[in-house]
Amino acid sequence: MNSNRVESFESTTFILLVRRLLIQTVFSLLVLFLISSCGGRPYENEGDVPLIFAAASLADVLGNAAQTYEIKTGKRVDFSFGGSIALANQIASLGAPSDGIFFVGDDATEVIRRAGLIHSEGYYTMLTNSLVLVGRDGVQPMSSLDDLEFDSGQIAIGDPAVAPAGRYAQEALESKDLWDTLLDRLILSIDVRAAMAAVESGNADYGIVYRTDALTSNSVFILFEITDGDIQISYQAIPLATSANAAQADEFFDFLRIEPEIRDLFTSAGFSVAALPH
Amino acid sequence: MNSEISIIALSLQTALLATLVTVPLGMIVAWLLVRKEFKGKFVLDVVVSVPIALPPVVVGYTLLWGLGKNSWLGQITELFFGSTIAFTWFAAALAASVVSLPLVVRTFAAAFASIDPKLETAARGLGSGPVRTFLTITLPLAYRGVIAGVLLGFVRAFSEFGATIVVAGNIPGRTQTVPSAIFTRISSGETESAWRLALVSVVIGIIALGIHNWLLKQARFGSTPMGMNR
Repeated sequence: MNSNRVESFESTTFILLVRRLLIQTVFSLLVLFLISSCGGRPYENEGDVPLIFAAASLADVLGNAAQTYEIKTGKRVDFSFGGSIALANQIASLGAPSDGIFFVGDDATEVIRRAGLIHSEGYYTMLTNSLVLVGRDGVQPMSSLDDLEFDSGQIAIGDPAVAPAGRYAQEALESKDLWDTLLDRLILSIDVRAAMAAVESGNADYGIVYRTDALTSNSVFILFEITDGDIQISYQAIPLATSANAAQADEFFDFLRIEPEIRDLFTSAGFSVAALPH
Repeated sequence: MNSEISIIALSLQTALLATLVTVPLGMIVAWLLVRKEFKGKFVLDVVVSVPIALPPVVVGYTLLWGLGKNSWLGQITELFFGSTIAFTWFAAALAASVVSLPLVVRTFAAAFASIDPKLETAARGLGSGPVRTFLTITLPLAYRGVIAGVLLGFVRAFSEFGATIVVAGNIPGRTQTVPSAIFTRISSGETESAWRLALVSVVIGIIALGIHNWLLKQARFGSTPMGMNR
């Protein structure tokens, strides 16, 4: 009789202790949740903050422009940056909730247009860019794409399947009949910024990127501007007609077009800014 | 620096919500798999385990296919809430919970299986209902495995990348978790920032393991049900 009572006392203590442990675990998780809420609450409704999908080459400059926008108007903008074609496919086939697009080239915008998400035919070209060959410190100097044939270093470009910069690089190389020759020396990256990173980190000796990307780096140098293939690199900012915050996206794009401070931001980054229509 | 803190906060909240979902669900599923026989048990086992066997991007793509704008479930959600769950923070938490559920279930199942079912039968025989038996007999005896499962689930949810990036995207401030942010920073050459975030991930992993060891060391009760040391 007595031994039964002793055993049941020990088992009760055991249960109480484990219950305490489990409560401690749950409690620490809850505390962790509360503390991390101080860093922001992503589950709260974003309301009318527009989500703009933009080309990777615009990442730095649009980030700064959005800061200026917030200071001047108090309104925020969210971005998703990447290869324009990859983003366009995300919107068109996967249903990503974009309110506006700011892509480079026609291919990506065409994907959106074919999905019926934008209305008008004529777009306003906001910015233009140019293609350059960059090289790491200490590589052979070059003056034209033909010179690449005589080197053996690897060349980083964007993947033509997802990044317009890669398509432009391919067009330029094909116009000189160099694409097949150089194919196995090419490193295909997920967007033009990744191609820059490949050269900066020393994993590629050369890269074909935009002038604006080349200007952001101190360790990578522009060897020459690529004019082969007669390529027009232009950026268009278009709000998506059917999305929730299209009007807010449009407001932001107007701000970018008109505000002189923003035009200066773009120019100093190396873009050519289109003149305002009258 | 500020944005890095908000990325870490977002990741923590995502992983915590995912853990909050997988732990009770995992307990129910694990208990069913270990203690019950029923038609379709094999199917349940496979369905719950399959995310481990698949590449995470496939898990993400399947979720997107099931919940996105082009699915019937997605269109119902859009009707009620104005937008689908895809590319929102909830999708990130969902992706994290789907990939961590198999690990949680397996850990819990191993823990429950190691308990003598005769103890549960005895409790039931004495009049305890199934839920009470679970809470007062099974769970306390399996506490080591339960704690391990919770922490393992949390760490796995925190590190999810492939499924998250497909079904939730990589939108800074909304769905960019620590792994996604590291990937973007590596891609854009921001190596310092990538290193800082990677370091945070390592520290969180070590803390989780540390808590795990501390909790287990707290109760050195030996291995008999009545707490007597053999």
